[in-house]
Amino acid sequence: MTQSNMRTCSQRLLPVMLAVVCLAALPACNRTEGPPRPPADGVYRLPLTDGPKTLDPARFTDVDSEGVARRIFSTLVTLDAQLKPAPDLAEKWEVSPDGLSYTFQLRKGVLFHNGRELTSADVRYSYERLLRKSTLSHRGWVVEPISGSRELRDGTADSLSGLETPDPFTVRIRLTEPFEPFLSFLAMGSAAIVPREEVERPGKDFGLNPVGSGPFTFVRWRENDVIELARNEKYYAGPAPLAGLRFRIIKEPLVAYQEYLAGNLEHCAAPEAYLGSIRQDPGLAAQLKSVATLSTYYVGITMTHKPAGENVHLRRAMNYAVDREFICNKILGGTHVPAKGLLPPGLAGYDPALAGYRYDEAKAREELTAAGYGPGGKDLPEMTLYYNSRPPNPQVAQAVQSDLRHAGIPVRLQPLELAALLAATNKGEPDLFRLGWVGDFPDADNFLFIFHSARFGSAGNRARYANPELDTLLAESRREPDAQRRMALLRKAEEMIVADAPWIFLSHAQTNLLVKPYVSGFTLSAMDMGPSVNRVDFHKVSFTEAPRATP
Amino acid sequence: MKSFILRRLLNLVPVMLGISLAAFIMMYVLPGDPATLMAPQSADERVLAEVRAQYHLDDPLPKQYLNFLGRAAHGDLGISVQTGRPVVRKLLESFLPTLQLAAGSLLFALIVGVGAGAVSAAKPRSWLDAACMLGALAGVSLPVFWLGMMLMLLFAGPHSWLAVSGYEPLSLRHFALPCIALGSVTAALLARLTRSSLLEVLSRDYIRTARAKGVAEWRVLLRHGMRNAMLPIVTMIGASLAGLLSGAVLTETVFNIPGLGRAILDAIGGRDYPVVMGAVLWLALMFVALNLIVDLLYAALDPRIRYE
Repeated sequence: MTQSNMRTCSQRLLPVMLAVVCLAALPACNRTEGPPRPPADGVYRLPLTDGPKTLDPARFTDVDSEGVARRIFSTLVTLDAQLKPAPDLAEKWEVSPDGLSYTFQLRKGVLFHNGRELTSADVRYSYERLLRKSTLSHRGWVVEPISGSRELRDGTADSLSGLETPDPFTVRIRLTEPFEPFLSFLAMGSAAIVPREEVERPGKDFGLNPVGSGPFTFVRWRENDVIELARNEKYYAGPAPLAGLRFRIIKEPLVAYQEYLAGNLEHCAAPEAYLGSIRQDPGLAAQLKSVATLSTYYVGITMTHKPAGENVHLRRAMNYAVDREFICNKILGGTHVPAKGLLPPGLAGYDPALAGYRYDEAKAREELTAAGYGPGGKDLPEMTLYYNSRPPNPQVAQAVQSDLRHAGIPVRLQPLELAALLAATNKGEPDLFRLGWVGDFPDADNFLFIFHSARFGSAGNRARYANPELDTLLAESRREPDAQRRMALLRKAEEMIVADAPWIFLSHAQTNLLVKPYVSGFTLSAMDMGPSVNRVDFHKVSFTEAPRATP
Repeated sequence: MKSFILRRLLNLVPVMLGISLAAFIMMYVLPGDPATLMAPQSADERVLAEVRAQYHLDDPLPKQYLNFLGRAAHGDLGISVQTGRPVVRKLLESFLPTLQLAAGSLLFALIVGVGAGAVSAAKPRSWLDAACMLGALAGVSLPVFWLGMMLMLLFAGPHSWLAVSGYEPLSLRHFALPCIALGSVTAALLARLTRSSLLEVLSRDYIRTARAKGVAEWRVLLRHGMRNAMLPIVTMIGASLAGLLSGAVLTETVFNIPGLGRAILDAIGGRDYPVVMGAVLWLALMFVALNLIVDLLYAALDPRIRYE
């Protein structure tokens, strides 16, 4: 190329290059300056990942629906930050010494959002509604411990015989048998008290136009986009400091993160990919709140399949062979903590002294030898691991496969969409499958009872683990009225399950949220899964003016 | 002309039947049971059976298909399995944002693409031509989701007038970035097509005659050149609009717009058969209608074309 040609070429390219430089310089105009300020209208803005399906407490089964509904409705009891039952609509209650009878005293003067006073008749209506076939509720089990629930469900009775309402502010409940977690059941979003006249209002879908007695009232819902709630000025505990709540449905965590950085959200989930850089940024690190949730992620081992199902040593070898620290820290970016057993830390009944499993190649070899396959897994047939194809599940499955292969246990991978994965595991199709169990209520019973032999398949026991001794122990624990003795039974049950290893116990998820510094009263609990923060009491959340930046 | 339109509309019936049958079969060939996604995590077989019965998912497949057809003929596409809302309402609600996004993207593509193509053709082998074609190359090469994320990172922020994501009806603040991201590919293709089509037309004898007559250059370009170069461009606009209406899933996801693409994606993931079926039929109808409009536009643009 001659010099003049080069000059012409550079002259031609100059405007293009200038345009590129201008484009690159533009982001400088967008940098945040000064401390973030709370929104002028006093409305708290938070993201939801999937968005609600319905806001009718009897119908929803997903986290996001419950996250919104929990702010509109009240329940008889709630859970405090330590996940212990605390008064809500019932200001006090008594439990009989045999653990069978509960007497609740309702608050007086509690108003539904339509202005009518809430009474014991509404409690009866709401609980009976959960059980009636016509409601098409999948959450009837919340009130199933109440005596007479089966008859109402089957249609052989018209009302719930175990529930009495001697006066408008007293509710007496009799259980079929003692059941310690019963109060936790009543604190679930599905056990919300609803007004009959609104539920049955002709031409209006209650799930789209919810009316409750909670701290916020429903304003509008644009599907897949936004839900707005306003402060309930007549809430029994006084109006909330926040003017309202604005839920934005944002599928992509990275987009929610951008909205948070732009000052359009008061909190968001810290994306896995950015967690490292967030921790290194002093400004953002101070906004990060983390809590280990009540969840256990695992690789299930179908007990009816050979060879792992019939060989406890092989199952233990698999548990020792997986490097959970690597999976939690490197693949899941510190959003999970390693599991050594079934129960997550933070749950009553969690045993810190339980030996459980951790990555130990020598022990894996020992167990493999005891299993009859020699230290290198000679003649061990290949097993298939089914997993959800959405990230980060493939990376976790690959790490498990690699660890097991390294120990001499050959595994083939089979990615599936969630719907297909659940259908396959319900039928007991895969040898191995990766799933998670998220606590519905904060009690060890919720994690242990899914191993009962009566709950094969979709009811939770997807590994098809059957142990009559465990069944007896679990049944005994449910009947035990003494809390300490009950806990001892549940711990023994966990030991039994961990020793038999029907799962490779992998990890417990953490919720990592970024919360703006001007938000106060925002307390996370172990039951806050993701950004919908179902257990955060927004009635106690308020905005304070951000501290001035030091010169 | 009338008989042509009538014939095309009658063709719609077998086309829609074929598409609905294909979509129906495809949904059921997919493994997975919607009941498992709708019921709680510990739902036993009894609850799952109740869910299936509630939504008639346990009926024989031919019965389900015929029921669907019967209802669809009356304008009822059923109830969404996920939300319990009527599918027609859901489709209409999610179509509005998509329509705005597609229209905005097409407008952007038309202005930028046809404009750049015309400039390139008017000044072939100039630096302006090189810059336009370089931009067009970038436009066709950059993935929409990447471009979307970059636009969001670069131009939307706390002190920017542009919104990071979300939807407000007819809001330029919310639609500017997604329309640019989605429209970039179409703009790039239009620029290249306009350039080549216009260059070909500009080399014709009648253009030389016009210039010899002393007609102003802009008039030659727009009136004589552009009109004759429009035929392939209109074909492409029709095809692009149909694509923009159905293929905006990524843009809608990146910019968090509650549109049709996202609704379909959610419905497939959640095995929401009624919504998937309804959306497929709706999109098929859009494609057929747009093709018909394009065919009719040919005649308006080129009087030599006759429909018998």
